[in-house]
Amino acid sequence: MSIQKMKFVKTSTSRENLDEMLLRALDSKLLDPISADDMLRQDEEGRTISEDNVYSDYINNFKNMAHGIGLEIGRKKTSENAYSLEEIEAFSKELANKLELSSCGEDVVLTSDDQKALDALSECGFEALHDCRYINFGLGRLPLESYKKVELLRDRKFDLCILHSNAQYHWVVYATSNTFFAEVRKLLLSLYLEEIRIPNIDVKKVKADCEEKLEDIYAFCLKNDNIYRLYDYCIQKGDEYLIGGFVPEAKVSEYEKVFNGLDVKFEVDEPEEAGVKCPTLLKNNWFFKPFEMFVEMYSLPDYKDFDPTIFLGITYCLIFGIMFGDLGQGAVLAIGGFVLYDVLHYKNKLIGIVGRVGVFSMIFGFLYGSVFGNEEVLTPVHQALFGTEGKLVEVMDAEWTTRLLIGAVLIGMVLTLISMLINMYKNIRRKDLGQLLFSTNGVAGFIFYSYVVAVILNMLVLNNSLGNIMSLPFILPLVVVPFICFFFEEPLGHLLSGKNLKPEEGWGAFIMQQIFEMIVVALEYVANTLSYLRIGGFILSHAGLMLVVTVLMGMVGGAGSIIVMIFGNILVMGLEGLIVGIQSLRLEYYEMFSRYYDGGGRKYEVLTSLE
Amino acid sequence: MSKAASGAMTTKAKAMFAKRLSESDYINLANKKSVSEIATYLKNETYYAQCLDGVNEKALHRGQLEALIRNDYIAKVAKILRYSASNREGFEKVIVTQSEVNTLIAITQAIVAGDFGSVVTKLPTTIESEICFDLKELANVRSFDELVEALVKTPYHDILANYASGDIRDMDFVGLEQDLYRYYHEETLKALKESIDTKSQKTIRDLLYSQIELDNIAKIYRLKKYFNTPKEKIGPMLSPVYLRFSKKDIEDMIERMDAEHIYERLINSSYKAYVKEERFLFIEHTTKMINYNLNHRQIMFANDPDTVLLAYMRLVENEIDNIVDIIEGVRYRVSSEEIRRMLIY
Repeated sequence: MSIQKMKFVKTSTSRENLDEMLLRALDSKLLDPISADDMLRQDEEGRTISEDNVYSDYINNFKNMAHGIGLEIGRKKTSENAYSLEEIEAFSKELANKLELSSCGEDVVLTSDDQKALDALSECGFEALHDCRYINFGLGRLPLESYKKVELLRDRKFDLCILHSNAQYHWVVYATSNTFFAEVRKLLLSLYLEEIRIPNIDVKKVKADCEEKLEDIYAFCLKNDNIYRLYDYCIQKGDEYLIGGFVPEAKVSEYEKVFNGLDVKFEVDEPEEAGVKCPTLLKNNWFFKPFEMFVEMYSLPDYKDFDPTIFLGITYCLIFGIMFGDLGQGAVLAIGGFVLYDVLHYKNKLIGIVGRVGVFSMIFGFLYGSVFGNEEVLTPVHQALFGTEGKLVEVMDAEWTTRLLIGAVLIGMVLTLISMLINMYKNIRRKDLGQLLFSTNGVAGFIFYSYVVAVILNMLVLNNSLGNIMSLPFILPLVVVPFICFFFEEPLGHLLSGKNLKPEEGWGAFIMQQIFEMIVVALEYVANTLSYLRIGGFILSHAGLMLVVTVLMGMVGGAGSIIVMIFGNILVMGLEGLIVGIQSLRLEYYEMFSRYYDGGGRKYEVLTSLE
Repeated sequence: MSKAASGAMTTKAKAMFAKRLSESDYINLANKKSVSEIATYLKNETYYAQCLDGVNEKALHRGQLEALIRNDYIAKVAKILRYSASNREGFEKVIVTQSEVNTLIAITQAIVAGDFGSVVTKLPTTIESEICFDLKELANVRSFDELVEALVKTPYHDILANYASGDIRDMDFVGLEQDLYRYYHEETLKALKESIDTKSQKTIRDLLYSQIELDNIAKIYRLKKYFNTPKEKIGPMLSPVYLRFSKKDIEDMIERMDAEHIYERLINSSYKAYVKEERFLFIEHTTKMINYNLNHRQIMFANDPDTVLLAYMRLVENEIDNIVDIIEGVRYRVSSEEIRRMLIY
């Protein structure tokens, strides 16, 4: 329910143990490393490791060769043997010779289509084609248009066979006598035949012979390539080689155990010692975990800030439930979401969120007395439980429309006030007195907005039972003073932090800017509050849509009404569920996060295999 | 045609023109070092991506690249014609006739050169169903007489038959070429006259006549400058079309002016507004530039769909010529500055 505590962990060892140490750090999947350059900023005695990575060239080389013979490599994760550079070089050359490639030779680029054509031709046996004494064969890609032209020719001195085709080419093999070979080849070349040399060897055989060793050497190169890449995170200090990074405090001992049996020095410090921004790893219980996705989408909190996931989770569920209140549809969402996410462990957090908001949709659906659009089925239950004449909430009743809209605005006001309180808590933690006292979301803002809420409540709900609170003695301290605070927020903040009172841009520009700023502030309060009207709006639109489905069911009648009910509900769940989900998120981001949340954190990203 | 349909076609043509190669595209293309680099650029960075989709640009032959781009021209025009609510066979006929004439000239050239094997490579198989001659017959001709024979049921038979007698080496190829182009111009005017309304006819006629007139002037310039052709032989080689120059002006050029004077007369004529660059490279560069600017003006300001379509066709042809110039330039290692100077855009 917070941001996990981190530790800055440094491990160091000798050159001979370095590679093993790095591989173990990599395998642990616990270390969020900091770069060697950042380490050097803290440690001037150290220097980076500069060794040429020869393995990356071999990896590319092997990949190209494997691609050339239509082989997919990389399935093997660990190599069974160790190879010296000489052995790898010798194997690379041997394979190139077998495939008739050489580093200084022509650039052979065989596509998968070429390979298919060669596969088809290999049925005849390449050696057999080369062994013919009086007949010559040629192979190549012939554009489709050119093939049409060849077909127009009478008395051809060659025979042509299509091996493979795609949208642009036919892959053809042609056969002609030695006498006409030059003439035929010239003709086909003038028709843009792109020649492919018929290989002397059977690629399939080479593939079968070398596949296993190629996979093993490739895995070996990959492992070493990874090690070389990890050198970017290491510094050398005398005879010691050091890698540092962040590990969750609770996992430090687990991380330490990873290096058991290896001569490694282990040092644990506070994150501040690292000299770089500490990463953020959120920690929430099973219910709120999926909502971390929305926080990450906006921006993770800074390591030293607080995690807004729980507040977001609660308010999101509430807003969604209010807007999409239907016991039946909510149950479908809840069951679907919980089964897929919590039982079958689908990784998409959005599915988890659907399950959770489904529960709230059920709760509010029950209060509205709505089950799959049927507004009557729960009436007896309401009568028995709440002692009402009809349902507890008559959404489609004209009287209730105003109540729902006023209720939506009141919810908005309460959420805005809570957002301001959270913002004040944040500024207390940050010890930012200026923001705490004078900002529009600080104490001044809270006083002003609370007063406005009280005035509205007094007028609309309490029938002026609070008396005349719109008189000067109230307005002066609760409106004028807060606005003076907003106006002079910057210089007053400077004053509290012991800086020069004068604004950076000078008094003239400052006052001009603040006049406009105050208009914006006033408008924002109004706009942000009215933005919550959408909650009421969607309650009505949901009920309206389901009314349409119910009317259609009545019109169709019989078995058809069940089909209309099923498809109507699916449509409303899909369409309106999506819109309500987006609108709820919009309220979170624009109306609440904008008041109390800054983000700006860095994600905790563990070191993983770089291939 | 309804206003809406006419607007749709005009908008489509203008929208497609907006996708044309830009100056920076030409600069990048001129800096390429090989045909495959040009093909890769066209495939990945320009609107030619679709027509080059699936080709192996690393091994693509220059001729194949040109062929694909030229085929794309036909596809582009067909795409615009789909937006036409009325019959626009005239435009299709123009493209087909142009292709037929070019094919016959190329085949004749191959026969004159004795390269019978390459005859088949010149055939327009992409529009086989539209053209008036039998490609199978043409693919197997081995002499000019056989070519004339293969065209017996087509309007080209009579044109080519005039040149059939005697030794092929003595054939008046320039005259044949001239006759074929004249036929093309006549057919173009006839075809468009049949299918477009009278309002557009004048503008379209002006566009076509301008091109013919400019070709005439380029021909006079060339014949005078490089071939010292006798005056009396020049006149019959020209198409009798007069627009911004009167018949007397053209006769004056033939009778009294040398090549330099003809060029001066051209750039100071009523074509002056369309000569954007006064630096002289070669005469066709100037005439093509004028032609380009004439058509460019129409596509920018005209609203009549036929005029816009014709202008679009001419501008795309110019773009194809530019690409071919770049390919040739890169192949013969001409510097990128030189290549860019030749381009018209």
